[in-house]
Amino acid sequence: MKSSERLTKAWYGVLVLLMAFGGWAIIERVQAGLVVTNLTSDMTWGAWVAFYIFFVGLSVGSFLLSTMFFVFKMEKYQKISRDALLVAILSMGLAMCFILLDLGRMERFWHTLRYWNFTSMLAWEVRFYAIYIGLLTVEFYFSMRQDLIRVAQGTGWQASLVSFLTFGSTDLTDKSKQRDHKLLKNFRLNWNSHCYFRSSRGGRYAFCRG
Amino acid sequence: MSTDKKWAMVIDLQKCIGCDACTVACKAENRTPPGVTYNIVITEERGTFPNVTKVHLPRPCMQCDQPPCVQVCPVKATYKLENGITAIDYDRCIGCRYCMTSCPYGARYFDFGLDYSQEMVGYNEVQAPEYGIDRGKRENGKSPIGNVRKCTFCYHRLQRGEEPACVEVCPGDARYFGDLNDPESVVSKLAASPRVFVLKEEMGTKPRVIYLK
Repeated sequence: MKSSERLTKAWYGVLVLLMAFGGWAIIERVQAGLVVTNLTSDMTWGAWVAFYIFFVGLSVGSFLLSTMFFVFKMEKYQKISRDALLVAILSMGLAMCFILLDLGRMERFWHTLRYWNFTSMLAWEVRFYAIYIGLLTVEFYFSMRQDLIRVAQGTGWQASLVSFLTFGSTDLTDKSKQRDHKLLKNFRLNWNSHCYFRSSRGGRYAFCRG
Repeated sequence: MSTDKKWAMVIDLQKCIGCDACTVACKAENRTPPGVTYNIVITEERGTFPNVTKVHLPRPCMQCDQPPCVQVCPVKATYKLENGITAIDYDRCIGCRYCMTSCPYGARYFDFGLDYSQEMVGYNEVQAPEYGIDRGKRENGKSPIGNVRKCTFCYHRLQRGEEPACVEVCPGDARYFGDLNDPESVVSKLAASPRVFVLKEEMGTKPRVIYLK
C-alpha cells in the first residue's frame, strides 16, 4: 500500500470517528432536550444559529458562482458550475438541519409553514428558503438533464432508474441542449428581474415553450 | 371573563423594599422550573459616596401593547389577549426563541425541562393551570417543556377573581393591579400621577406595567 493511500484511509477513519461523535451528540440532544447545549435564557441562540446562517450564506455564494456559467457564459467556470449548484443544495439541507436541532420542539417544525405571522422576519425567511430550495432543485435537474438522458439510453439498473427522471425523453440534439441552457438562464433572470428584460430581448416566454 | 377589561399593573418604587417576596410568590404560584422566573427584582446602587441610594426594580413581563415578541413570532404562538395580556400558546410554540431575543426587558424564559424534584417532593405531579389550561403532570417531551414561558399576569387567578400572586403578597403594598379601562380604578388614578414612568419608553412598546418613581 502506498503511503498516500494509507494517509487517505487514516483521514477517512478520522472523519468516521467525528461523524460517530456527531451522531452520539445528536442522540443526546434529541433525548435530553436543549438542556445539553448549555444555552440559557440570557444567551438564547448559540453556535447552531451561527452555523445555520453560515451555510445559508455558503449556499447563496455557491449559487452565484454557478451563475457565472449558466447566465454570464463565462466558460472557465463551466467545470464547477454544476458542482456549485450541488453544494448550494447540500448547504441549504445542512442549514435546515442545524436550525431544526436548535428548535425547542423539533416535531413542530412544520408549524413554520402552517402558521404565518405576516410581521415575522423568520416566517418570511422560512418561506423563501422553501422557494429557494425548490428553485435550486429544478435548476440542478435541468443542468443534469442531458447527462441523464445519456445514462437512460444505456442498460442496467441505473438506466431504468434515470429514465424515470427524464420522463422518457431521448432528445439529445443541440436544440434540446440549448433549451435546457436557456431555461437555466431564464429561471434566474425571471426570479431576479422584471418581465421587462425578457420582452425587451424579444424572446418568447421560456416556460411556455415545448 | 369579560373582555372589556384592560389589565395593568402599577409598581410604586418608593414603597418597594426589595424583599423579593414577589419573586418567591410567583415561583410558588406558577411552579416555574429552575431557570424560569417570571418576576425578578433588579437592585441597583446609584450615586457616589456619601450620597448613595439603592433602587429596587421589580420586573414582571410588561404585557406591552406594542409587543416586539408578538411581532417576531413566526407561528403566531404568542399573541395579545383582548384583556391586554400577552399570551403564549404552548401547543403551537416551536421553541425557536426569537421572541426572547426580541424582548427588550428580558422577560421571557426558555423551559429547558429542568425541575425541582430533588428539592421538593412531588414537584412534577402538578403544574400551574397557566392561561386557565390544566396540563396535568410535568413530563419530558410535553409542553411547556421546550417552549418559551413568561409572566401571565396570573391569568388563572384573574379568572377566579383574584389578584396576581405578586400583588397579593407584596408586604410594602408597592404593587397595584386593576382595569385601565375603568377610570375609577386605583391603577387608572395612579397612572395619571406625575411620578409615572415606564421602562424603555423609547422602544415604543407601550408597557402595561407602569412604575412610580
